[in-house]
Amino acid sequence: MNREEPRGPGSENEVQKLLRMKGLVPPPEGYVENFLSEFHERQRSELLRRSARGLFVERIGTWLWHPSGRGLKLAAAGVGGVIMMGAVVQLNRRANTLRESSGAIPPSTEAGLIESFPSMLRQNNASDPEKNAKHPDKNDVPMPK
Amino acid sequence: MSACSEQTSPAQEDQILVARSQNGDTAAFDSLVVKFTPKLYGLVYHMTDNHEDTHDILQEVFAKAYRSVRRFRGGSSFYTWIYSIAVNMTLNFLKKRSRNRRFALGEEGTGGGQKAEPIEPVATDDTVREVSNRELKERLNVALQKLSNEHRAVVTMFDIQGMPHAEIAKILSLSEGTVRSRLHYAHQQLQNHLEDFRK
Repeated sequence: MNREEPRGPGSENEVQKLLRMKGLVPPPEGYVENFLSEFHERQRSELLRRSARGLFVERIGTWLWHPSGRGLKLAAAGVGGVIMMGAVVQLNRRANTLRESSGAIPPSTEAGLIESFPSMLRQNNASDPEKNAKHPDKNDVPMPK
Repeated sequence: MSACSEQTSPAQEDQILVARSQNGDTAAFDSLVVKFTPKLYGLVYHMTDNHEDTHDILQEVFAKAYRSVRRFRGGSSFYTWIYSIAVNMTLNFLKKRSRNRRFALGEEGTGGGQKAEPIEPVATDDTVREVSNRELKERLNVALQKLSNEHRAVVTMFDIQGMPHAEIAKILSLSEGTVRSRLHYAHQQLQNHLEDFRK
């Protein structure tokens, strides 16, 4: 571990010293000002190039990632709501399928039948006048002899 | 109020500028650009060894920072954040550049392509020593370019920019141990190149 190291340009210390001597390379004079104006130009052209959709996506992203975290919370609540609604719809559908497979008339079908029943009767009566003459009232069922 | 602002540290100043930038103050972001461009210039230039590439990378770095400054939550300092953007973008650029060089027509060996631009030597006192110093520095530049991109990044940040191990570890998302071992390996590689020069 305590190996003696040569003190020439090849030694680790010397390497580090040389590296330090390289020093920070400062940009040429006036570089920063030009850099900044070019940066502004680029920003402007990028804004023009970007489509409205891209801007919309960026706005959404910015809103979501705002440091207050309000956007993220609202988005999470929205996603949670959508998932809950999906789950409820799915459960309802599954219950209907089960009822159908067990032979019971699903409530939706039942309700439909009840609703459509009077109109069906009316249609029937209108199309058969003889029947109407014999049975003017649908409730008037002939007594068996 | 004014007494408070007089006592703000550079990190606090950055924080204020970042907060203003997050609220859409473009002048505040400009101040950050002006403040960090010279520092980042040195870092990127030592890694790419080319002024034009350095300029392009820095433009991209600040454009990216501008786009995502609102997402910056201050988990680390702005300095660490912008440095990590710069280092990662430079490493990606170097990867692409070496890939392009490999596929370039008429490629010759590993060295081909761009020539390393000599870095001006820092003032020396002895004229006799100056010649060998310059040679040594040229040799060092060549040796640096022979390091892998990751090793060169660590050497640049530690030896040239004088950053502490912990800061480098944060920037590169590595453990301090990995940073130290990369540094040690890089120093050994450089040492070997310079040993040849000594003989």
